[in-house]
Amino acid sequence: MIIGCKPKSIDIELEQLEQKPVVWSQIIPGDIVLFYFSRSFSSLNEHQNNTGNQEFLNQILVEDGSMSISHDGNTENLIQLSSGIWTTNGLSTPLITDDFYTIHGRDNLLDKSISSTTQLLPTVTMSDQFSTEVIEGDSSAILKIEYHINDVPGDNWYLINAYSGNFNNFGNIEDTTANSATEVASQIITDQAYDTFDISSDLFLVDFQSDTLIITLSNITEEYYNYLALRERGGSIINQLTSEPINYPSNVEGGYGYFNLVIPDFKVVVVE
Amino acid sequence: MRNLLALILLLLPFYCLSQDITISGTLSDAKTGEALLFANIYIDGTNIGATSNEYGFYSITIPKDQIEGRELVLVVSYTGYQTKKVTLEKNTSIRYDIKMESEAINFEEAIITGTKGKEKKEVTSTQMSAIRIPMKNITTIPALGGETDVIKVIQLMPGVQGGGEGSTGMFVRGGDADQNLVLLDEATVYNIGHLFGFFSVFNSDAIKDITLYKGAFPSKYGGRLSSILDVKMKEGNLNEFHGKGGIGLLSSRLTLEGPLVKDKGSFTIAGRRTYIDKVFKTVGQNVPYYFYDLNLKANYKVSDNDRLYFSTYFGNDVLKFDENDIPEEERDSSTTGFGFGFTLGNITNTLRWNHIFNDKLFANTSLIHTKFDYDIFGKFLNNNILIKSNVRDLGVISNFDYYRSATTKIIFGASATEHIFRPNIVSTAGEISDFLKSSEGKKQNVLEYGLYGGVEKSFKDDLYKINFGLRFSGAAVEEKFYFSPEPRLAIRRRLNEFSSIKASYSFMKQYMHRVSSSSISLPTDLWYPITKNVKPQYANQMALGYFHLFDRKKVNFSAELYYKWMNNLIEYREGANLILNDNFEDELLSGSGDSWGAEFLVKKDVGNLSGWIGYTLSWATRDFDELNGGKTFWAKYDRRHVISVVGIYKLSKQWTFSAVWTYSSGARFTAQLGQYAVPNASFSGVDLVPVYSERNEISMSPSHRLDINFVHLSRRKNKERRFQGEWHFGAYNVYNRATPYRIEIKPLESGVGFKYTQPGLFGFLPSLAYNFKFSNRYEKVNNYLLIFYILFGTNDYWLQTQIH
Repeated sequence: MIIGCKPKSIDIELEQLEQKPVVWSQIIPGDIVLFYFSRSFSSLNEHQNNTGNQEFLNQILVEDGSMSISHDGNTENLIQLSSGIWTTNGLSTPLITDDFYTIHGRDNLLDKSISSTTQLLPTVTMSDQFSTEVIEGDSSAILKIEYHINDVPGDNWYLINAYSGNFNNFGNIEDTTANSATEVASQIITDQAYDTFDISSDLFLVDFQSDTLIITLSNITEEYYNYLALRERGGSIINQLTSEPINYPSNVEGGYGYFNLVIPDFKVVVVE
Repeated sequence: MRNLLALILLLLPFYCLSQDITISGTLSDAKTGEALLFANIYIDGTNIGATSNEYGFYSITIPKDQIEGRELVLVVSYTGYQTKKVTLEKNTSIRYDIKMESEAINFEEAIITGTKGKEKKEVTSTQMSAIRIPMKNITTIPALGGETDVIKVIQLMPGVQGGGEGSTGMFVRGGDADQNLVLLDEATVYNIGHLFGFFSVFNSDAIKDITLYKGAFPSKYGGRLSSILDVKMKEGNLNEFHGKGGIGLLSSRLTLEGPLVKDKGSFTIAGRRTYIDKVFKTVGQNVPYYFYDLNLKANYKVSDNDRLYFSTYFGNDVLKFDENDIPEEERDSSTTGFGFGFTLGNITNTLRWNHIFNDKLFANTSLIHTKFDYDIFGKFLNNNILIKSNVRDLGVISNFDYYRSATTKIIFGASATEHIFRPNIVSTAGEISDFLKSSEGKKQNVLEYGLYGGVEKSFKDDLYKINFGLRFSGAAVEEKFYFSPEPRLAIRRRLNEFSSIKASYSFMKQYMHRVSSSSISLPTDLWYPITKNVKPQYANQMALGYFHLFDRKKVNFSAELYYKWMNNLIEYREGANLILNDNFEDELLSGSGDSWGAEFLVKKDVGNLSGWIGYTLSWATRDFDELNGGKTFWAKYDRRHVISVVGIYKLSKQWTFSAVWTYSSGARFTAQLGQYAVPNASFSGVDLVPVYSERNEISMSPSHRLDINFVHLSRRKNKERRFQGEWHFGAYNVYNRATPYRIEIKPLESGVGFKYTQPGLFGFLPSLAYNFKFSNRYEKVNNYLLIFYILFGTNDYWLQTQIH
């Protein structure tokens, strides 16, 4: 006979996470850079199970703050679009390939500042030749997309995204490509595994909804590639169960996130 | 090597022509014929003595001038046995096989009686940092669910830390779980846990002796950095047929032993099986898990100088869930044929030959085979997958003990083992095979060698004793040969008759590793060998100790300080792919570690009250350039304070009470402290990225626990009664306090916000077990073997084929 009592869990006082600013960047069509400026939050936050809640968003999006960008000895203040979003739209800072850019940010509520520097790498293009194949399953279909990259000399690291969905608002600053997509697939590759400049690989889009696709290719830094690779590996359920937790790297001094500037090449593909 | 051996053997007789006399022989239990290991034998009134070796052989050489004018009296003492004094002829070397009479009349009395002199060995020997577990104590000590477990008793000793609550993981002096070499009759046991580690694979009824070396390693041992656990199986009663067994909460066991040929050969067979699956089935629950194990040993005295042994262990953990096994009325209409499971099994085989060349030279040669298998399988619709991994060892070891003189003992020997690693053999069928191909995995062979020698010598009338050893180890893998000298040194200085100080240094090298992120067994916990790029781990360890015997109370006290520094330690890279990865080398990182601390032990093996109090104060750190941002971090089982209090009290002839209280600083943990939100790589959504503490930065709350056990022994009506039983009434975690094993984030009672809590696994858990022993006339043996077969032989094909 098995009789047992469950012991009462012991509550512990762990030092709560020190809140820090979080930065992320994105170049959208028109060579406009968007910056997302927010704060980290404790795992004990009362909203942590409902992070879409507006009250919670108000807590983490930086409203009272400032951001600036420095390039080639010049510094300009970024324009705040809304709570947590800043942009270069309307500034004179040009986006020049291979140049370095530094951003500075300040969260007045936390009384903390961040800075980060990155290099704008040249855009690498994809060939216009895509082949697609629909693999029918019992209840859904998988779209296999074969693409070709016009690789350039040197070691390079690439991020490929495929979107299917309604792209009527494509290019609209308020409604970026991703926001309109219904299904997305991402892949990172490095040219070190290839001995040709014509890199070809396959991307799989699960449960795709639309016969029109947008495929983007971003030439990213090695550091950002390693970050994405670690996120990809560490995010799998098996890894979460069997591996030690990972503190993901960041290139932001004094905070979290990633400052990354890439001007992607994009193609529109119609599935035959 | 062969020439060297021949030369040594050729020269040995010349030593025997000296004027000294030598008394040698074997030491055994008078009733059972079992060899008595590590017993004290000395010449009364002198400092001349010896300790029987691990096969019961002893040899004492006495210079004639030291026995002039005095009576030559041999004194033999061994815990649980009557001290024996024998007056010998002075002038001749003789062989004298000693049979010791047990002081024990029943189970308990063996642990409460004793006589002067036995406890001195811990003061006089050069060996330090070693723990020998008296097997007779183990059955009385409280145990989880009433299941006696030798590994859990070892975890109560200073310097040894357990993994999670209830598990058999071992972390010795700041080392990792894979740095412990576990030997069962000299064969390596790769997996020491059943049921994800909650039980050890050792059936206590089949075990004769356990010694754990944490440092000051004798040169005959090598291959792991942190500890050697040497487990010896019982040989079997040479004179009478006996049996013993137990019916416990979760498993039952039965052991039979007896003579094959009276006074010449004997056998032991012991089986154990859980009935978790059967128990749950009676209440309509499907828990498709069980484990079983079988120990078998036989030996035969070919002559006075030769004895052969064969021992084998076979154990399996089986989890097998199949949707088709669910009764039709309970089955979901959308049956998919889903099934999954695993089998995890150890097999060891040892064929051993003991040979006494002469009164000073003893040899043991063993052929050893070990296999460890780990199979995982799953099926869904028409898809099937089977993943197999295994390690197979085939080896030979030859060891010689040479008792050169009254003050000098020499050991030497050699070993060679071929390890074959076969991780991740994949077999798939159905649609799954389109993207997961069947593969043979990456087979790797490693040939590991050891050549060693050591000398123990005492000086200045045994004021000083030095044990120096040198082991040359090597491993050949992928056309690369690793080679290393491993020096070992231990020094003892007597302070007076009852106290001594000791110091030691050991260098150890390890040619295989198991990288685990957790203390429980997981499918990812595979053993890998060194390669061209993955170099052997190695460790240096120094220890300093003070040893004292409080003679009147028969209490031993020891205090040891140690420092260990380890290199080429292995960890997985962050985010490593652990499943089906043949390129595991890419996922491994190399680093270093340090551990240091102090251990204190007060121990009393005899008397109405016996037990021990142990205290460990320790630190353990790790350094890996690519982990924790390159900063030094604490080892997972870095626990600052660990206290164990174990007491066994004989209340009456029938009743014994025992209690264990443990206190332990919390294990370390990497806790999630916060998160931040960022767009995902495709900017199609938001990812919540966790923020953790530094690696193993958070120490869980300390834990303490009291376990108790009452043993009631049935009264014998007369000495002829051949059956005797005992009841165990136990309680685990008497005051129901959680022993934290993980951190959870739970909602606050107010409903607003969350808190960190640490749940425990087991609360107050009463247990009831019944043990018994019996003896019988030999002609009834077949009946018991039949019972044994019915209990253990009907569940497994292997057992059926072996017993038939």
